Amino acid sequence: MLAALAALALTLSGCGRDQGGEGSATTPGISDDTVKLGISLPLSGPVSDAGQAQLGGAKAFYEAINAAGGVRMRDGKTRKIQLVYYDDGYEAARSVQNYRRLADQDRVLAHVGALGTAQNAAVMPIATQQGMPQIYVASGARLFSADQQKNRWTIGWQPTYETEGETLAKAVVDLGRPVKVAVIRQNDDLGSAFLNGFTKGIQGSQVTVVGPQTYEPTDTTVDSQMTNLAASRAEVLLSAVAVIRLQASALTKVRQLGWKPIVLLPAFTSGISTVLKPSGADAYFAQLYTTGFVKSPSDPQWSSDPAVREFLERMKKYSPEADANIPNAVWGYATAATMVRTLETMTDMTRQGVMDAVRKLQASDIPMLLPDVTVNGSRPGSSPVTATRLLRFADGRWGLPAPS
Amino acid sequence: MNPRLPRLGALGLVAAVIVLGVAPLSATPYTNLQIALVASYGVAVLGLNLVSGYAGQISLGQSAFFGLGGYAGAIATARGGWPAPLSFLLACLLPAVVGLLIAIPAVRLRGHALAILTLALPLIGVPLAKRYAGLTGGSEGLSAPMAQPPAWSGLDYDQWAYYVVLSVAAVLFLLARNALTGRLGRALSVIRENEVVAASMGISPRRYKALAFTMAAAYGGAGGWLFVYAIGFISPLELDLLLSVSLLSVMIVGGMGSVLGSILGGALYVYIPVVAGTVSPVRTTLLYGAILLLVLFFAPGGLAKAIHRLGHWLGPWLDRVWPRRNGGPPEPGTAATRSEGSVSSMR
Repeated sequence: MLAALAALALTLSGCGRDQGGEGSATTPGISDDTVKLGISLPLSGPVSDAGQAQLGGAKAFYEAINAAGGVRMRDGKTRKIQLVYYDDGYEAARSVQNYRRLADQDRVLAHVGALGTAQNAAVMPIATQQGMPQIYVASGARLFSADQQKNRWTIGWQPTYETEGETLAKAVVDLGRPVKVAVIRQNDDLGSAFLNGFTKGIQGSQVTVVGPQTYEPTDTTVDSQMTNLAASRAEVLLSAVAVIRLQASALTKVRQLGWKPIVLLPAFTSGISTVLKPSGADAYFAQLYTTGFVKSPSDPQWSSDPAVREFLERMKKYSPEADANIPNAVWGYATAATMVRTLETMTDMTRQGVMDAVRKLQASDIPMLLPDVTVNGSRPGSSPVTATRLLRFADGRWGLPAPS
Repeated sequence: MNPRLPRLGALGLVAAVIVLGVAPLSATPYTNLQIALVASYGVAVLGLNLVSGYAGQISLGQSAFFGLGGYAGAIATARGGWPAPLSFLLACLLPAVVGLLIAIPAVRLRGHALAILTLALPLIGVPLAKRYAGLTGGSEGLSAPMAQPPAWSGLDYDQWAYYVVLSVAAVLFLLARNALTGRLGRALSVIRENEVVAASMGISPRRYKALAFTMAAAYGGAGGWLFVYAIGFISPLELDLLLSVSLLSVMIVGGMGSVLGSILGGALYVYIPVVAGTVSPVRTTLLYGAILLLVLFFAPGGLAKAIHRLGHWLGPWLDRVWPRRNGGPPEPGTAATRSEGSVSSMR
């Protein structure tokens, strides 16, 4: 028995560690006919609806491309895209494990379009260490794109929460008179970033902030916070609630209290069918504002837009279980489109080649982005998509506000 | 009990140590990370076992101690530049002090009241971690790469972290086992059965419960430190109440009042989501609960007890298959004595 043990030990110590793709014939994630991409998403847990929508959007785009033959890449080969995904339940420890698994075991080319700020912040130093791209992170946090020297394998995608807050501030500053704004925000960096951007936008004006009330994403209700804010009788409400069900409940409460402020909403909780209709906000409030950089599929103004029609068809065909009306579905779809464009422009078929392509990418025709919103990966310290527009709710849809 | 079983057990342990010692050299960083996590959660579950398994006091506060130890390590080493052993001491002592303070009211309570008191810890802990963002990095968390493989070792980051975490965990497990097979363990089991009887035997329930609480907190903190060492990151989610509940569940399924059960609990916590993910990535939480229930159904006393029962069954089977000769067990592998043995063991 001891002999068997010794033999086992010798065998195990004999195999050194395979040091990765550089020495082997095929680079990780790319073969002659396939490109392997990976994501870790919160498919279960407190934000599972957003996570599943994000996955559904990405799957829909990749499957559609595969059905049309695949991605035509610069080396002349056309490859199909294989998406490997794991659930991290919105837990940072699991995101890190999943990332490692995708990098080491599944050996994907890149980790694309993941969701969750803290979760991806945990992965960021590992990405730098392991040299696998962690790109187009679906988070508005600045840290993913801010220091491209230190975190050269990571980049965000969408406009930051600060930019959103600042854009919303315009609606209030344009009133041109002293105004009180009641604020509720998420008790974390997402919420602080939002408020910081808003505060920056109102600097030098006569606008003052009341509150701010905070809530946790795992809360079941924000009724008491809304009641406190209503007592201030402020003229404007900045309801920076990032969880869809809580936003619907918050606006319902405001309506029940008989308070009728001008309402400012963040983009991801401004969905017509997911928030405005269920809470009755669409009929009750006189002025509703939000920001946007993507087309909302439930918005009637886009009902005949070919990109939106294609999005809805593809979602129905390839991801019927996901809710196409959740903004994350559109983000997943548009991020996937950005990724495919990146694959098309890559000249070097390696992980480093992906990062080079990301930094050179300039595209103005990514589907589902609002007109005049472009992708530009070459700006240092900035996410690829930065433009966001102030939108006003009128006639049952979100549109650009009329010039004052 | 068949006297050969402890020998086989010892041999198995040696084999396990060899495999664990050599494996990280050829395994992927992913596997090394997972095993290191099993060890760190195992230490936290062991702490919980001390107070909930052995002493029978339900504690929902273990995640707070885990997080406190983790943050202490992260802030001290990654931010403050403390050497790792010093931050480890801090990670054990700070929660121990908090545990002792909590123990003072806690030992006067029983059952549900105690559970509610300990519940307060993660409920307070999470907002505290978010509020002092300057120190803790807030809700975005703190990146804390603590493992610095020394140049002479030639090891990668994940391999070094694996060895450190597993060695420290092994020492902690041995310490606990020694304590529990001695006076402390006996005192705690009497207290668990009946505190009045314990008091009449001269064992002070309050003092021992306080001791168990403090040790549990220290172990929780150590587990947190090991966690940060392995992953290099901590966020307020790590202090969450859900972690406390999960640790309690895997402790029960792994085996209450058992050192082996604690290791199994850590393994369950890390591997069940992975297994559930391969079945259906969308329903991992549901499957997690289902798997825990299934294990409990088939092994009501926990997995560790089931393994011990297996040992009892294994003994007679081993004798049938590999008969002993009179007067003692044969040397393993000596076929010459087998025929003699089979003759003499026939009745």
